[in-house]
Amino acid sequence: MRTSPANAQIRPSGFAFRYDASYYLQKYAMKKLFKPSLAKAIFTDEQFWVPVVILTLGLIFLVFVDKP
Amino acid sequence: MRPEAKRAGRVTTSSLHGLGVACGLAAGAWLGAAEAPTKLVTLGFSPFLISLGTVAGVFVARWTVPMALKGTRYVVRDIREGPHLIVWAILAGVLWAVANTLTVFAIRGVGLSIAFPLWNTNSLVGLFWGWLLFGELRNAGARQLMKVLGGAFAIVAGACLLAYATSRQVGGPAGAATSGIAAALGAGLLWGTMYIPYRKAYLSGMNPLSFVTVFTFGELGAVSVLAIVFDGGFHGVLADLQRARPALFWLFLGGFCWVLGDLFQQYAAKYVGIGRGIPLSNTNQLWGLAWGALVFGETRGSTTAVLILILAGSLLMVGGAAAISLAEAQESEQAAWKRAMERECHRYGLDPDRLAARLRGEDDRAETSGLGRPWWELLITAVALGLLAWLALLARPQPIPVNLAWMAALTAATLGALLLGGFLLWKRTRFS
Repeated sequence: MRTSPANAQIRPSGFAFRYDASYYLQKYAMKKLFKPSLAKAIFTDEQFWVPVVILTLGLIFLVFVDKP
Repeated sequence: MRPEAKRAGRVTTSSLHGLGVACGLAAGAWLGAAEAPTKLVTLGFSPFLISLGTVAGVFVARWTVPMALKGTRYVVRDIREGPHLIVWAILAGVLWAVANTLTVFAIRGVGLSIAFPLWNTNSLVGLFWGWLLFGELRNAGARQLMKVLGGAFAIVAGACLLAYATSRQVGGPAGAATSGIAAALGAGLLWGTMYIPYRKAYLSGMNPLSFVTVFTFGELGAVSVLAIVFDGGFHGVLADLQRARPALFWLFLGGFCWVLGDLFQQYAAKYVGIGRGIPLSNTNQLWGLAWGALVFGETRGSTTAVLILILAGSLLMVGGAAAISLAEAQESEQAAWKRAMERECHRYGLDPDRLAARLRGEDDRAETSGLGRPWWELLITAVALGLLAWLALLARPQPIPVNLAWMAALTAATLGALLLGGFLLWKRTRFS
């Protein structure tokens, strides 16, 4: 966990107000929603790569069909 | 026993199959109606701009419809229970966006009434992925297998017939028909693959309304990038949007219709699987043909031979889809579905009992939606309605001849499908 970020403002009440987006991204999105084990489960799921490959082919084809 | 459990107990497998069939047919009506605004592509707007305009309407509808039906708290809770599906939903959204852009090229090349059945081969692709990845049609029995495979071959034959009719009808520049056919088939491949995330989500117990709420970020993001990259950069897109302002309302409205159809399609995929649900929703081919031929007069001037080919191809495809839809999954096949569900549970740490209940249309998250609606839901509704009203004020009639009587008849039939499908879904599953 990150401690004492350089850009933290300390209010008179002592409440630390952090406004750097990366802190919240790391704290909430990455640790609570997307745990490393979850990312591993997704990327080692062979079913995941089927749509990824088809999508890549689709994008290549789109470039081709857009040529006049 | 809780009233909800009693109600759920009455929901038999057969009635869920019937519900899935009704949803698939309603999806066909609305997906067909949604394609009508893409006729504007013939007025000289860029395919990417048409796609962007439609997806803007889709984005707004995908946020407002789930919110209206279940509430934001329900949707957020549902998403948090299956965070891995966020990635899948965004991936599905990008697939949709690329396929949607290809359809515009297809319509430009061969026309709506021809392109429609060609990209509807997505049902074959979905059927294949359903069999390969999710245990659909495994241990289905010879009779059910014949219905599904026979239907699939009928769809392919119908598509070939229509492609042949295209080559006889299109009188444009050489290669335009070939390019249009290739674009339509490419869209079919991408859309058929998009059903992998759909099935994945519903085997994992997610509500279709929650899935589409995330899905839409993928589609809007992808369409925006495509428009900027292929359509002359950011300033080019802005300039085009300015030029297309009088037509944006129609595209936006098309996006709204598409979302309603897509939601029905999602429910069909949930309750009868992609191998059956998608062919059913592909009856949008008939609706597309009806809109193209009856309202926009696309087939006017065609020879009798071409008309017969188009009609025969369409009927063949619809007959194939009907045969597939009548093949209700038996217990042996449902055991294979269960194994696919258990795979998801094992990989992503989900509870198999809860998932099985959700696949029966039961909803253990229902109590969340019983809480009061927060203020931001009113704000989102107001913004959506305000945007629609603003675009309506800017709208100008497009210089496309339409048959108003047929337009009124098709609109009434489409609204009837919405009311019937919505009522059945609410009655049996409360939109679960």
